[in-house]
Amino acid sequence: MAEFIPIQVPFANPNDTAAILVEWLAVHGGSVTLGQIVARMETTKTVIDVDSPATGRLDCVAEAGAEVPLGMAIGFIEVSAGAASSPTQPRSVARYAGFDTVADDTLTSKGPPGSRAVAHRVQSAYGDTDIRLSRRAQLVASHIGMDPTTLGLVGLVKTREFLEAVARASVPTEMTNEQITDDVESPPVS
Amino acid sequence: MDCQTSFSDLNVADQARVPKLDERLLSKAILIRTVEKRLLELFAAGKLHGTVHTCIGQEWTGIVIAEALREGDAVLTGHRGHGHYLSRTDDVEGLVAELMGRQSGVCAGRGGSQHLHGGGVYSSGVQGGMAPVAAGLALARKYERTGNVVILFLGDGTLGEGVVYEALNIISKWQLPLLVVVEDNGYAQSTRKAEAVSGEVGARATAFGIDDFHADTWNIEHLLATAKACVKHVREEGRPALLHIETYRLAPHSKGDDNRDPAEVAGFRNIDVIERIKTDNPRLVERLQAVATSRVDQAVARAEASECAMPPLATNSPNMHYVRWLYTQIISPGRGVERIREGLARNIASNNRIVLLGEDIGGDYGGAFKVTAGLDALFPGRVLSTPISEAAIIGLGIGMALEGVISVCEIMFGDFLTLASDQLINHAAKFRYVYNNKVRVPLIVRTPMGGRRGYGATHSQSLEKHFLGIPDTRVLALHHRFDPAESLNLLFSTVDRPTLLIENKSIYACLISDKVPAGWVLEHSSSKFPTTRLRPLGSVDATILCYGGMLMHVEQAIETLFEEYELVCEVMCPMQLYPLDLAPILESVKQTGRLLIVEEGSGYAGFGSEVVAQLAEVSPTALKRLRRISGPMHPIPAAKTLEAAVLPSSSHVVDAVREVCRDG
Repeated sequence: MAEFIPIQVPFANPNDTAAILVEWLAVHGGSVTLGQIVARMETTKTVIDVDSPATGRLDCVAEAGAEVPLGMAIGFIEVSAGAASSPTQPRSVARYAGFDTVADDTLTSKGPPGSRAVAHRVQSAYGDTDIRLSRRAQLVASHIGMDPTTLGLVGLVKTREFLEAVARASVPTEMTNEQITDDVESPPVS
Repeated sequence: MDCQTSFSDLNVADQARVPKLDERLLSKAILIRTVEKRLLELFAAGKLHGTVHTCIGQEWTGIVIAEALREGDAVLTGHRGHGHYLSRTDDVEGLVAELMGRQSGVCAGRGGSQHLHGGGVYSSGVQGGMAPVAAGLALARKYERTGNVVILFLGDGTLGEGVVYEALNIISKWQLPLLVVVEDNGYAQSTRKAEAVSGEVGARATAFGIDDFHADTWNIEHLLATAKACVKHVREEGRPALLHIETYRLAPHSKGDDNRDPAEVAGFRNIDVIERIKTDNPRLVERLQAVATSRVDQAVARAEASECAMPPLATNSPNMHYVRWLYTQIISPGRGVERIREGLARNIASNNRIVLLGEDIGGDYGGAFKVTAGLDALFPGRVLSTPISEAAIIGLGIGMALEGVISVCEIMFGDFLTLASDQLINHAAKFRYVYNNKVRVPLIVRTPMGGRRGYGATHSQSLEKHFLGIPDTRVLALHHRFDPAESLNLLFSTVDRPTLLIENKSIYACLISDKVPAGWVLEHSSSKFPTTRLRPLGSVDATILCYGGMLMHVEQAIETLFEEYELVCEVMCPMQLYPLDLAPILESVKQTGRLLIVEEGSGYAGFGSEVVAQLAEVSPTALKRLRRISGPMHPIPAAKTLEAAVLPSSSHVVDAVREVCRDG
């Protein structure tokens, strides 16, 4: 079973809330090794290199130029035997969370997209809940094996909000952001 | 028989004979002429603001028609309508005060010379524009079976207007009790009739199967008898007629603009009926003149002593208020076309003063988009298929509305609203105000807008922006998150002004439902025609403002934006585009500071521009980042790939929101 290790925006500057992904230094779908510099990010003070947290296939989530909140994943390392041999496999939310994807032509005559979206929620890996995770947050949740419905979250949940909820649920409140990040970056293997 | 007006053509016997006239009618003519001359004097003295078009020499046309009318009949006229108004109402005081801009004027100074209403008379300053309105008033009279008739005065110059022929076709086809009086004074302002009007006047009537009559203002006994016969014919036969009256204007077109040969004018002055009687019996005319002068003197003095017309205190500031948000369920989900039909049917059934008008809307066909399918069978006589005459359709609706009938006019494609825009802008939207609140125009105009069907440049536009901001109108846009049937209930229960109902074509096939994307809550503001919002359950990054059919695309975009880019958007979708309730939009923008406005029509000077201007006025610091997405600045192409590329879609929305949110 594949594992997904998030490549998160480092908490390099305590005054920042986000950093800009300047460029990817490795190819999406390609193989990378532990410690390899895979991306370059710009904070308000400096440009920092981002290392790969594992050896495997690189799954780029954020695009160059994107501003990504600290702690959020800009990509994932897929660690599995077959990962490196199928670099062209398209990314899909469905393979992580069991979500159906929304076809582009849903507007034509089949009704508004909302009716489909509700169905997604019902059919999601988390059952019929009032929580909806972004694609990245789903990836993280899947990766760390955390059921988001147990975190007291409702509504639309972004990765950072999910990670903060995870931290609140699993560590003492006096833990720092760095500690939370460290904890998430070294998730228990399921 | 038809004639071209020229001095030499006139019957010599008529010129020489002294007319035998009832003194009462002569006194009317002298009074009208005295009023007109005094108005010119007042203008020369700087006491009249604006313009006057006097009927000196043409007084008899209104007088003879008025002799044949009764209570409940209506008279519609144009810019040269003082004589028609006075003939019907004898309201010298109201007319003089109106032109002098006094509160005591017949329309409290709002209408002026060309926009008079009282005693069943309606005047307006657009050539031929009143023709379909007159047809609508006549249609209402036919429904009511009162035997009352409508008179429409036109000038010979007006025969160049296309809407006149739309109206002639319909009044004949539907056999409406309308008498068209062509007041042929031989000139269209400065242009001789011979240069502007082809063929014969009466032939226009016969071409449409309308009975035509002819008379002139020099044989006054014949004119009076013919006028009475015409009105009797229309009243008793219940069918239209056209009376062609040759006459001559002895004064300039307006004030001093006369380029005619002075000898020609002098010749007609010599055979003028009043002048002829004056020569024969000067004492009589002097006596009547003294009475008329005295009355006009008093009217002027009274007007000068009365209060000038003043506007009520008003503000143009947007109406800011606390917004209450309500959650309402859509009880009966269905396709848009079904819900609109349901709304129409429900209201027609409960109100017998609702009539549907439009091209191909009756019978089994039920309109180009089948909105009215089956309604004709359910409500016989209430669903009227019209000729292809957009201006006349709206004009008919206006005329019906003036009689308290709520007309629902369907314009088959919104692109064709341009053909009817004069009726909407210069008539429907004006009457309540210029007639000083003495009338209401409860008119509903439904029309499909928008592209994505490959119909090409003339059947795919979203032209609503051209109809936003017309004072005293309302523009609504249906969408799939508020039941169109309920929208129509609200509209029918409160319609008090011309209302344009925009139905984006994509709504027709769309499922009307309250099942919004997971993570958002559907709410509606508590205003009469609510603003709908999709409130996200989560931290909001940006506001998206859209309306009508664009809401579907925006909904798809907000899911992508959240799923793929972790950007959460609040969506605001007003049903009422004009007048705009800014408060709900401002509330959201204050929260997010980032705004994307999406409209399918071209954006230049569009809906979004107005919203941004209002936001900047009301809360200059609220808006930090802005993007607008709109239709192309070129015609909408027909090819599927081209059309898809240029019309705003969810991918455009996604890109724009990401841009708006890029620098935080």
